[in-house]
Amino acid sequence: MKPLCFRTFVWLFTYQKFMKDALLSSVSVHFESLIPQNQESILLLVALYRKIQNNEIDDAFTQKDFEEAVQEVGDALDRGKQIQVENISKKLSQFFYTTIKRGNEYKYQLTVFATDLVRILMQEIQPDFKNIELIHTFKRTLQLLDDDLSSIAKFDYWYINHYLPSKRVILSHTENLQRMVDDRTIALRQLMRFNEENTKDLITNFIRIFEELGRQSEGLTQTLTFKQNITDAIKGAEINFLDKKESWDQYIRIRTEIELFFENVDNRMLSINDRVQLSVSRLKTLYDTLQYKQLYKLKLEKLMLHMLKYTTRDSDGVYRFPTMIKAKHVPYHRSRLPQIPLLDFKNVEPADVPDFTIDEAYLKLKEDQNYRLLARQESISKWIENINSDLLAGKAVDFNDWFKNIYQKEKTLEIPIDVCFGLIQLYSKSSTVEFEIDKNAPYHPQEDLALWKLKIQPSNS
Amino acid sequence: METENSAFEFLTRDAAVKFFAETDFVLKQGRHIQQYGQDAKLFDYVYDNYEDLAKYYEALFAVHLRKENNERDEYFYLDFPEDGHGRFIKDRYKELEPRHVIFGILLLNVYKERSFEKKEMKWEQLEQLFEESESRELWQKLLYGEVKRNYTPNEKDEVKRRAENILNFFDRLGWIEWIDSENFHFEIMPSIDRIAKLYAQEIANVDLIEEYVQEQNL
Repeated sequence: MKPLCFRTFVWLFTYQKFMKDALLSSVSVHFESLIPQNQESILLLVALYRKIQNNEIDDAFTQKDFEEAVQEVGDALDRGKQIQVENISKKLSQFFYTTIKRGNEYKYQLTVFATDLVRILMQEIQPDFKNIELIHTFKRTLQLLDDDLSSIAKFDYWYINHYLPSKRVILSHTENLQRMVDDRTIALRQLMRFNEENTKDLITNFIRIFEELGRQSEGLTQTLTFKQNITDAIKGAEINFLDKKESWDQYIRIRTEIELFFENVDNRMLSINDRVQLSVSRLKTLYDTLQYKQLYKLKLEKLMLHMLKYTTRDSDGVYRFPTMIKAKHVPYHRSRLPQIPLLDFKNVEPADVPDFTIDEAYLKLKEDQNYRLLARQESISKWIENINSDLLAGKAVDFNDWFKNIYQKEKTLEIPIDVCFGLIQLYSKSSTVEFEIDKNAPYHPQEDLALWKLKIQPSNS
Repeated sequence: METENSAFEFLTRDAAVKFFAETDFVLKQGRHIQQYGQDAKLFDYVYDNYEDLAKYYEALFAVHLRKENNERDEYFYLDFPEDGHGRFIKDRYKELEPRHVIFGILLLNVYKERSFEKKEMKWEQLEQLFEESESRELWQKLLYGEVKRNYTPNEKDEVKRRAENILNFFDRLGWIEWIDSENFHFEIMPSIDRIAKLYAQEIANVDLIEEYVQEQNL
C-alpha cells in the first residue's frame, strides 16, 4: 500500500475535523427545531402518534385533527391558558411533520424522525416487555438455525438482519428489567419497614412482587442457557468457514462481536440475578415473620378464649381465673397526698352564726320525761327488791298476785312487766330458784294482753 | 453483701440529677418506659444508663430492670424475681386481676393485628368487639354477668365505666396512652407486649392447658 504523503494527510485530517465541526454546527443551528423545546410539543407528538396507532385519525390527518390533539394536550396540562395552535404548528413543521396535498385539502403527516422519537419515548416510559421475560425477547429475535451457519453469506445475513436489530432490543430489555427489579427492590424495602397503612395492600404487594421476581428469575436462567446454546453453535460451526481467509476473518469478527455482547449481557444479568436473589431472600424473611406472627397471634387468641370461657365471678362480683392460670404481680405503688385547700386568711367572710336561744318548754318537757323514767326505774327496783326478800326468806312467790298488786298500785302495765323481766334475768341461770309457768287460764289485765301464771319458788321448798 | 459506693457513681452524673428521681418514681410505680411523649427523655436516660441502673435495682431492691422490645420498639420496666417481690413488699405491688389480663390480651391482639396500621382505638370499636365478635357471648357473660339480647343503657354505661377503670390502670402502667379520655379515645402502646411476657408460659402451652381442662371436665 502506498504511504500517504504529508499534504494528503493534512488535507484528510482537516476534512475530518471539518466534517465533525460541520455536524456539530448543523445540530447547533437546528437544535431548537430538532429537539422539541417544551412539554406541549412532545405531548402533541405523542398524542398524534397514539391517535394514528389507535386508528382514531389517518396517517395523513387534517387541520381539525391537529387542533383537537392540541386541545387534548392543553386539557391534560391544565395550565389554564390555551396553546397557540399556529405557534406550535410552526415549531414542529421543520422536522416533525410534512404537509401533503390530498385533493383540495392540505394534510399533515408525521415524519419518520417524529414517529421514531415518540416510539423511543414510549418504549422508555411504558416498555412493551415489562411483563415479558428476557428469554422471550431472545427467542423471538435471536433465533439461530443450523442453516444460518452453513455459509459465511448466510451467517452474515443472520448477523445483519437478526443479530444487530435484536441486540438493540435485548439491551433495551435488560435495561428495563434492571430498572424493574430496582423498583421492586425499593418497594420491598419499604414493605419491610412496616410502614404500610393497610395490611391487605401489604399482602397483595407481597404476592405481586414475589410472582414478578420469581418469573424474572426463572426467565434469566433460561436466557443464560439459550445464550450459551447460540455461542456453542457458533463455535461449533467454525469448520464451515475455514475454506477462505475472508470467510474466516468475517466469521471471527462476528463471533468476537457476539461474544463481547453476550459478556456484556452476562454482566447485566448477573447483576439483575443478584438483586432478584437478594429480594427473594428478603421476601422469605418477611414471609417467615408473617407466618410466625400469625401462629403466635392464634395462640394469644386461644389463651384469651380460654380465659373468657373459664373465668368466673363469685357472689361478691370478684373475677376468678381457672386453676391452671396463675395471677401475676407487677410493681405498683400509688401515693395519695391529701390536698390542703388553699385559704386566703386575709379575705375571709365570717359565716353568719344565729344567736342561741333556749327553749324553756322543751327543756321542762325533757326534764319531766327523765323524772318519770327515773321514778319508774325506782318502782321497778323496789318491787323486785320486795319479791326478792320473799324468795330469800324461802317463800314461794305467786307472781300472778304480785302482778295484780303492782298493776293496781302503779296504774301502768309497764312496771309489772318490767319487774317480771327483771326477775327472769336475775334468776334464769340460778339453781336456787325455780320458775313454774301455768299456761292454762291466762290472766287478762287488758283485752289485748294475756299473761300466763308464773310461780317462783326456792328449789329446796 | 456490702455495696460499694463506687458502684453507683452514675448517680453523681448530671443526667442523674435531671432524670434519675423521676425515672425511679415511675419505674417503682410499675410504669413501662418507652420512647413516647413525656417518657421519651426518661427512656433516653434509662437507655444510656441501662447497665448501671440494672445493677442498682438488683443490689438495693432485689428486682430486675428489664429491656424488652415489641417489633422494634423497646421498653423498660421493673420485674420481680421468680421467687418473690424483692423489696417491694406489702402495698408496693399489685396482682393483675383476671379482667386486667383478659383486656390486656385483647389489646395485645389488636396491636398485633394492626401491624402496619395505627394502634388507636375508640369505645365504639371495643364495644363492637364485645357485641359482634365470634366470642361475643363469652364477653357478654364476663362483662354483664349474663347473656341477653339487649342491655339497658345503665348496664352499658356500667360496663363502659369498668372498661375505663381498667384502661386508667393500663395508662398508669404505660400500656396505653389516652388521646382523648373524655371521648374514650386511646392508643395502644408497644409495651402492651408485657402482658405476653408475663403470660409467656401460658401462651406457649395454651393447647396443653385446654387439653387438661377438657380432660378434667370429662
